[in-house]
Amino acid sequence: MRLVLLMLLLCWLGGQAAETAREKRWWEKREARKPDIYFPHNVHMAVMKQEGDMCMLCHSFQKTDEKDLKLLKDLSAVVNEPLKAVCHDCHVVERRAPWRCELCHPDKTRIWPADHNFGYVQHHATAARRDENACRECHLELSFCTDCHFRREISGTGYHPLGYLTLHGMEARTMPANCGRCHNNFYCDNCHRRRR
Amino acid sequence: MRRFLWGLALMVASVAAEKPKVPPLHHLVDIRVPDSMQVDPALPLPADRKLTCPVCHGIKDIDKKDFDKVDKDDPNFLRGGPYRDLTRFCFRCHDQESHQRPNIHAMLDDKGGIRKDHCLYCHEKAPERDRRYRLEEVKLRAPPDKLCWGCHLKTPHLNALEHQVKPSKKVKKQRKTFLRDHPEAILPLTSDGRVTCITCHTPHPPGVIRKDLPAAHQVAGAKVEKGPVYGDSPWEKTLAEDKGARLAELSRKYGRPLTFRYRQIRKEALLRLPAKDGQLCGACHVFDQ
Repeated sequence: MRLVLLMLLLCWLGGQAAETAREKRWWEKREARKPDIYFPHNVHMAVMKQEGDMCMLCHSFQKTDEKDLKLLKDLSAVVNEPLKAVCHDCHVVERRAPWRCELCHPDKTRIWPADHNFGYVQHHATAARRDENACRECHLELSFCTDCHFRREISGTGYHPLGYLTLHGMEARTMPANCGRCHNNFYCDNCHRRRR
Repeated sequence: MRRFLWGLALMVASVAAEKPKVPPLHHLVDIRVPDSMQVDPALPLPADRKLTCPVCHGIKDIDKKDFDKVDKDDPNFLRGGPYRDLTRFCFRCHDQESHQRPNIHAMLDDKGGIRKDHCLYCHEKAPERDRRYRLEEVKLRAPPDKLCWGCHLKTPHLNALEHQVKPSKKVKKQRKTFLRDHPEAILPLTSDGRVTCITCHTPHPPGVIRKDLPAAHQVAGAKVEKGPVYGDSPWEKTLAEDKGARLAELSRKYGRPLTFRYRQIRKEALLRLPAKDGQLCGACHVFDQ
């Protein structure tokens, strides 16, 4: 009985070892790469069918006369794995698909630039003024900026310092262009018209 | 003894001088090209029409070089190269039409009759159309998984290599479920359970196998004489952008340009199930999400 159990254990261990030794397929390798994305196949089926391109758009079966098997394996990894350009075509460029980043990138720290890692909220102004379009590559909605910058909080936790609501008249008269960078006339009128 | 050795050495030297080492299956040299053959004027055939190394090879003194040291990647190794498909070079002299292999998958004649000569490429004896056979009764000339390689590459399309494996448990389960729900279709594996060409492709066009048999079930799209039809896709530019950097890296790695162009499949031929709408893939692949 012990011998039988021992044999079974050895067989199982052998099977496990073979499984470990097997070369990982391209989709298994991508798990280890950064950035990775969440791609629910089933959600895309109906849309892809409607578009006229199904599985073979991303997993190509195009004719090839390549005979070098090592090259073919490398080439297959490239043609099988759609990257940013394909996904972003619908989700970002044309916005025919939902464009919330966290929908496909659950961990945003894997895709954001390195300078975002430490205190970027406090230091983003310079970069934003230098190249606003660079910000817009990821922050597609203007509300990403305005949620903070247009926040009317008198407690002082927003863009302006504490008590700015009381003091803003001075700056609005001396440097109106500064206000105009974020606020339009309607924003001012919302309060000032009521008082007129 | 010394005289014998000298003689032997001289004989070997003279043979080596006369016949440069060439690879197996090399074209005959030192023969006269028949007058009836139209040789491409770009190939320097001498006035005596004798076929020598420089007629085909553009590398200087190739016949004096050791075969192993000849640079086969030199575009001038075969004049007008490089040739991805060697037969394109052959057809610079040989008539393409008369030397091309017939499309044996076009098995029906103009009247709908079976061209039995085409059957005999794969079968020892042409099976009858209206009879129901078991696989072992159709007497194939080679195991079904190897038969295709007689004419086709083992990897004639991308992802062929990735599919020629034993399916995982999950795939096996899905295939079994699919075949249970679709008794009209078959997706045959090799005798040892691997996916092979005929798992997805059928060698016979519609009308060759009795309609009520699962082996006859297939897409009726493109004409088998012409093969599948591809068209432009609005995704071509996006895919080129997606693959560009990685293909450039691969090209550098392998030292030759590698390209990829996505073409949308419009009409399919000789497929057991349509692939362009994902049915064929879905027979084995299922996703949790």
